[in-house]
Amino acid sequence: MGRDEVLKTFEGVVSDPLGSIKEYKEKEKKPVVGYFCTYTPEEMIHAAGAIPFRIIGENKAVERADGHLQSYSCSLIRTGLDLALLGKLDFVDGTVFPHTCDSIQRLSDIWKVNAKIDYHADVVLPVKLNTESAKKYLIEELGAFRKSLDEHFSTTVSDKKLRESIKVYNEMRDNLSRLYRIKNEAPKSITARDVNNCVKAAMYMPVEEHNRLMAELLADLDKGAKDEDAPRVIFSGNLCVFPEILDFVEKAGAYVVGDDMCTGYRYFVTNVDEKKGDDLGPIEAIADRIIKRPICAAKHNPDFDRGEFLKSLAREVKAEGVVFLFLKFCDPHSFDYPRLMKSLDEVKIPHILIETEMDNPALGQLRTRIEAFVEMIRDNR
Amino acid sequence: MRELMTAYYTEAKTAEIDGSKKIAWITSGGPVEPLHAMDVIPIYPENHSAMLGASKMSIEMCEVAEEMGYSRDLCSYFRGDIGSAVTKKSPIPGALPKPDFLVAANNICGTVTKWYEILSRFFDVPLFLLDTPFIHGKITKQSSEYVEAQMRELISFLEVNCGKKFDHDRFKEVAETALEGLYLWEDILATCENRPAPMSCFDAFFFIAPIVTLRGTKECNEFYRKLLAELKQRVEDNIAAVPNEKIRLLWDNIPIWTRLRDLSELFASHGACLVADTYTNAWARTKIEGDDPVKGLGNALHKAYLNIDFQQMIKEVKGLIKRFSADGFVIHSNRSCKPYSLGQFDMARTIQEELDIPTIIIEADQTDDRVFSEEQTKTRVEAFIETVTEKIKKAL
Ligand code: SF4
Ligand code: SF4
Repeated sequence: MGRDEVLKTFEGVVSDPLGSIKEYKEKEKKPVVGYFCTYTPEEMIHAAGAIPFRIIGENKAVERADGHLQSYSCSLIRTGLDLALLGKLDFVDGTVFPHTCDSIQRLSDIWKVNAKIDYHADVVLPVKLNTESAKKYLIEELGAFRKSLDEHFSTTVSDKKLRESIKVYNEMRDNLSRLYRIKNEAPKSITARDVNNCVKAAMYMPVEEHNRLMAELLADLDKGAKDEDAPRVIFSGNLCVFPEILDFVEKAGAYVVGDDMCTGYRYFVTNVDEKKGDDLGPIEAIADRIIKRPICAAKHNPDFDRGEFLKSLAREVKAEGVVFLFLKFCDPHSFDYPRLMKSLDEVKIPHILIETEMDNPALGQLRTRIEAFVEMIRDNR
Repeated sequence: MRELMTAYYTEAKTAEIDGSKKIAWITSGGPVEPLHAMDVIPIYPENHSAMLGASKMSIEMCEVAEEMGYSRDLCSYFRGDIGSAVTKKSPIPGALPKPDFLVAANNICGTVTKWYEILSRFFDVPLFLLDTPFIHGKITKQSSEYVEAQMRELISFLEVNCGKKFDHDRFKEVAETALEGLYLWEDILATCENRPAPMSCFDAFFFIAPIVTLRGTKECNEFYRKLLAELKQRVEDNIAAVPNEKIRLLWDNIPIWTRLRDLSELFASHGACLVADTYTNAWARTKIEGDDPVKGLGNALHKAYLNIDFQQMIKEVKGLIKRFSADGFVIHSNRSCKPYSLGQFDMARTIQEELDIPTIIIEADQTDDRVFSEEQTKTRVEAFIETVTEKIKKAL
């Protein structure tokens, strides 16, 4: 397959994620397990012989979930629950809730009673990531998750299987990192929306298939594409559910050259250390990745400053502007916002805040705001 | 009680000036007993934010936080607190005394983790976070060991920040005093099992301050002993909180601090008494058990009401409805507090179906009065009272 075909395949997967995952389930005759949040150790689900995928609801009005969740909860949990209540997840064999935030935690309670999905696992990750006792707990909690997978899927998630799964997931992460580097160095060679499709597709298809397609894509990208001197922008926040927003930036004549989002960079950044996996055990190595990866706002690590991180990311990719993109009603990210804003102000990088709800994007207005923002960056030069 | 609380804040303000004692800001579900054992004055920003609400200062303070970039959708306790820290405005002259260090436990919410991170940067003081993994079903071995390990880490943290050794004997004493206080508090709430109830939850909301802020002190227990005697006397004399008590109700969630009087009068005008609530009862859960009080305290904090799944919460609610012979269930859907509010719709349905108890959901906020709709609340409460009255009549 050439570049265009691969991108088309990814686009197809991302435009109908559930259809796609269902198809793969039938084709590969494997159970599929949905999860919330990128802290889920996908390798473990994979090693249990299942296909993991991320649950993100649809961009439309919620129909049933409003009877269970207040309107002041974030779109991710409202639309996710709606999928389940509408029967759209009936083909799914299990759901995994890693501890993220107060909302995900309560969603798990509600889900358990109402979603009627066979396997339900809570992986109560520590919130603190900087102490030895937290690390010990994390390893034990992952161990408990391994046991629960064994029991439910009547299998043995052996160290050997885990090591193999870690390898294929590292390959996926490497591929996406390479893609991000290319986008950063030659932003004209692929659109931001396509880059985002590559990341999201990894959440909705068997990882081996994704690896195969990515290899073809990477071999066929025109890295020589000459770039004009367009403004460079990065994104920071939780989920990008409206890829239109990426289009708006690039159509306004700027490039999206990186991000700190959970539907982007935070999903694949940092590999599991395979050598550590050999020496200490794969679970320890997975725990190590969870601790080391750039943290999300919902975690606590006083040794990791998200403000400094954002600044250094901006420096690294030579960003001249930052778009904060949040799903509304997200506590962890809203708490971090003023701090992140301040750290950008210190280095005089302009920024805007976009809050969206999945049932009400108001795209027209967003387009105008983004155009004005890009204009402002230009004037800033 | 006013004197008790004034004395407490005066001591804290004095310590701020002369440095005679260390001051720690702590979350409502936090490990306060070790602080008392180390002679540290604990300060509760949540309690202070409730005061901001009751004194109608919260909106102004929230707006200051919003100016700083904090979303209006964040917990109004946090917004009120940061607004007050920045402006020094408060019902307490000069606002809360500056902390020497911070102690947070996330057994009530993830909000406090972020809130205290922000305070730690704002005041440039160290923060200890007690991370209490959420309990789905049973407590796991690994999570209780994790909490216990952190309790030991907390002790080292206190030793470093207070510059002295931890006094285990003193801690044991404090733990015992705290336990006694908790039993007293439990007994106080239990007086409302009587018909008519000698006080309502609106009184309990007021009287809760000592068990939150002064738990583990002699003053706290003395105060409660007197209060308990008084309430028992009222029961004896058949004095009702709501004259002609006809309806008994259970309240769920944090009070709407800005509307205590209005709501209390509204319910009372229909002969309805809110005889119990999940909020003040949650405090009676923090009992230290076993012979190792450090471990026991960790365990008790781990099992906090907001740290258990809602199947378990429903069980507790059912228990309260039975114990207090409630005829109806009043649910405050509190925009500020997701861990307390998400799941309430399912809870309401279960209670209604399994116990055949009418429920009402009031959409509001603990201190952000801008989201409160007076008219709507009044109409809905009245309709609800009617339903409950009908049901009681039928049962007769
Ligand atoms: S988007 Fe924010 S509030 Fe929603 S589930 Fe994720 S972390 Fe929680
Ligand atoms: S009101 Fe809720 S969210 Fe706010 S601090 Fe209290 S428990 Fe946390």
